[in-house]
Amino acid sequence: MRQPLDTPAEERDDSPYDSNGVDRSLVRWMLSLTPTERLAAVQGSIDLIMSVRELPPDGSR
Amino acid sequence: MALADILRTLARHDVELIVVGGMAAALQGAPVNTLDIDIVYSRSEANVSRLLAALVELEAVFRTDARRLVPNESHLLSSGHKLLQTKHGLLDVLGTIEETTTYEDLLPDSTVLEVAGLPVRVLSLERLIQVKAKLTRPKDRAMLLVLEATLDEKHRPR
Repeated sequence: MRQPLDTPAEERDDSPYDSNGVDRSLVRWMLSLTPTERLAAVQGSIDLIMSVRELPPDGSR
Repeated sequence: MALADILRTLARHDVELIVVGGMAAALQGAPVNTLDIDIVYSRSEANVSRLLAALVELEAVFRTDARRLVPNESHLLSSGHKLLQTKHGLLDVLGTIEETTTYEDLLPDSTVLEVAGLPVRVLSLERLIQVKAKLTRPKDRAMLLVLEATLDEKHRPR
């Protein structure tokens, strides 16, 4: 069934966000990965944070 | 991969454990950021010995202790949370969660995933949601919403 045009964006089935503001497209992307790939994604975030922490205060290398 | 190396070492020592917290959520498809692995482990004497051997190999120390205290059998037999730093990353070793909930209590609500070629037991999304729902910190409330959205998406007809 088509939804009214004035349906709030977060309530539309095609909205990337749910009513709590959670990015459903991100959820779908994570769910499309295997557990091993998900672990790699987490590791990538940690590696990025650690590399930023190693930068000097002015950001130069 | 560092986190995989922690899991690999624990598996090689046959440690009975359940991955909980953000890592359990992420491995099941929840888009959450985490910097560590949280495990709840069996506090049987045999398992504590195996965990201790794994922690020695991982060169684990208490990350909250300036003396770089090394965890021992007495620490691991206790129910408390041991916040450790290892040579491969951060590892939180939990005797219980929710004050008194043990590894054995959580086993029926856990499932085994294959991660980097290893069988890894994780706490189910449904049980993670129950755990988070009892907590009131903003970070726990935020994760709860992501967990609920992930479970909802998993159950959504394709």
